[in-house]
Amino acid sequence: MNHPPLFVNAKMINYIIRRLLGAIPTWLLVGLVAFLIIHLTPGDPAAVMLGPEATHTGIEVLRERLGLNKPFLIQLRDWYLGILHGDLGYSFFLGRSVAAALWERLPVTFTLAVCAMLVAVFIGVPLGVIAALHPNKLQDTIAMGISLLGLSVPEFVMGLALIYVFAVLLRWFPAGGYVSFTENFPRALLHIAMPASSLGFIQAALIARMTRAAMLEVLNADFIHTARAKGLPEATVIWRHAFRNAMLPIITVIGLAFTLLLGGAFITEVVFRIPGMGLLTISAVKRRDYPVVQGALLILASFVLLMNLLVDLAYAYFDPRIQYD
Amino acid sequence: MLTSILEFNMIEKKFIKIIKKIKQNPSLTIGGLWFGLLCLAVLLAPSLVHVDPLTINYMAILEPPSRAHLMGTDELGRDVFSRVLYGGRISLAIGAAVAVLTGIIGAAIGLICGYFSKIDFVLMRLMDVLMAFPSLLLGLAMMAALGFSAFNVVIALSLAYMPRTVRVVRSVALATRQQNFIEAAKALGASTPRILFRHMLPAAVPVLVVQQTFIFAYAVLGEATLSFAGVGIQPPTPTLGNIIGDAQPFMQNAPWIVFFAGGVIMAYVLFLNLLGDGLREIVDPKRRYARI
Repeated sequence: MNHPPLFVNAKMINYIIRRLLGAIPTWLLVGLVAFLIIHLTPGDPAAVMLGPEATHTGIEVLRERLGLNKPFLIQLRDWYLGILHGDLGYSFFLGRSVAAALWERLPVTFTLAVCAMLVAVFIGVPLGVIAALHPNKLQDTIAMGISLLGLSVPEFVMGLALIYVFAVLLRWFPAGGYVSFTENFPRALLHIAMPASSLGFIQAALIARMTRAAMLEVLNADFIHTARAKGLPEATVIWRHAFRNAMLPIITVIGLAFTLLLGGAFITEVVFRIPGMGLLTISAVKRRDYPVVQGALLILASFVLLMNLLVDLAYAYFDPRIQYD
Repeated sequence: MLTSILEFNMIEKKFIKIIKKIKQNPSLTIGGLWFGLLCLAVLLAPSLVHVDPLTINYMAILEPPSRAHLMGTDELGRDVFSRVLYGGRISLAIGAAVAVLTGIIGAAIGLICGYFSKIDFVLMRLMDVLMAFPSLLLGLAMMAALGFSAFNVVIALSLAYMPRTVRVVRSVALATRQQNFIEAAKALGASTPRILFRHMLPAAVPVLVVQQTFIFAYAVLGEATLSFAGVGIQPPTPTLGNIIGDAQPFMQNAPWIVFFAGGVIMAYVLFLNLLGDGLREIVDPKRRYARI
């Protein structure tokens, strides 16, 4: 199979534009869900935020500052206008703007997610391929057994087990904390190794299962029999003919896994005390700091939508059969 | 006499056939059996342990496992075995509640989506929106909105996992709608609810059961995660998640608490996943191990 030519014709541009336009209503609805979070609260959100010892005037002041006294539709308009201006509201607990607080921690969560994704792909894809090459044999059972284990261990238990073995007993890795890659590369690697492995291993389970299914489907196709009949070496058949064609569903599941991974990263951050968006958001949930929760929800969901978009575009690019209409 | 012998033979043959099927499907047997045993253990908790999970004993803090305390004691001297059993009850109840709730509502929405193409477009966009949120994050946000209680955990997790059920049921409904017997039922004047629930629902039941088994597993994990983070069910009520959350600071001195409680969560989810895989093998053997 030759590389798909890098052609960007009018039809494809048309497809990309329509796909982008199609994402706008979904994104607006995502914004609506984030907006509604504060309004789902039974009772007065301002009173909930301030706790049982709040004074009447205190609640009234907070309601005013949160804009809760305005009519519902005006609040909604202000929320969307704010997003367009990069303004996600103000956190009174943090004493700063939500956008700034989240933006500052975004690179940390993103680094963790990307490292975990690398771990997941490097474990998951080979595991799935091995399982698919020996269906229902010992290799398959072992690979799928490992994957089943990954699907069944809670992220935080995996993380705590790694901490106990590699930080408490063996003292190979630090038990937590975060060092940025630009600051000190080797130390950053040392700090991210355990969190990324614990998070990545769990996603590897999912990727392994989807890779197996995708590979099996392709391996039974006629063109594989033809390739074997031609006398091509088995490695060529597997990697050049089968794997490349199984790539599409694998890319899809990697896109999907990234969503799960971002969610999982939140808990991993709690376990390893990594100062990312997750640690911030979970403490915000505990304090009922609504603006931070709403902001985190919006930012992550926007990322997920963007990922879905990229997966769709990758699909269109890798599979020339896909019609752009 | 003869007929009864023949009948008996028939039953015997059927029975052997079932046994054979189960033998060929170890996932189902192992998963089902062990999950059943675990369920039994937590249901019988009051007769298995005689120590109250909430009794504080400052004379026995962070004791290692012993005959008196099978899984040791925690930082307040509470019996971990008893807490794990009672905590397992709550985890199980929440998992089951989420599986049933998403099953009923998700199946209804899925059938409606699969049958009415106009409503389908709108509802599926809404599901896309829900799917855009990582389910854990949606759960967290719902907990922030609703407040921390067992009931709210069920609501939050159900909302987070429902789109998965809807998608699965919808895809079956879309395929079933095209079939002749639905046309026949329509021609006979069957009402829409009758077509949906008498004719289309049975076709979706097998995949629904498989999917709900997996959602049960996800929900046990989800509840444990929320409680671990401190935004689910609140202490002193023990749940598998908050037992681990409470024990985390004492990992260095008393690692067994984390490992016992973590092992129990893992066992639950593992056997549920095995059970789901086993059921999937019967329902849809081609898609073995695949899932959403």
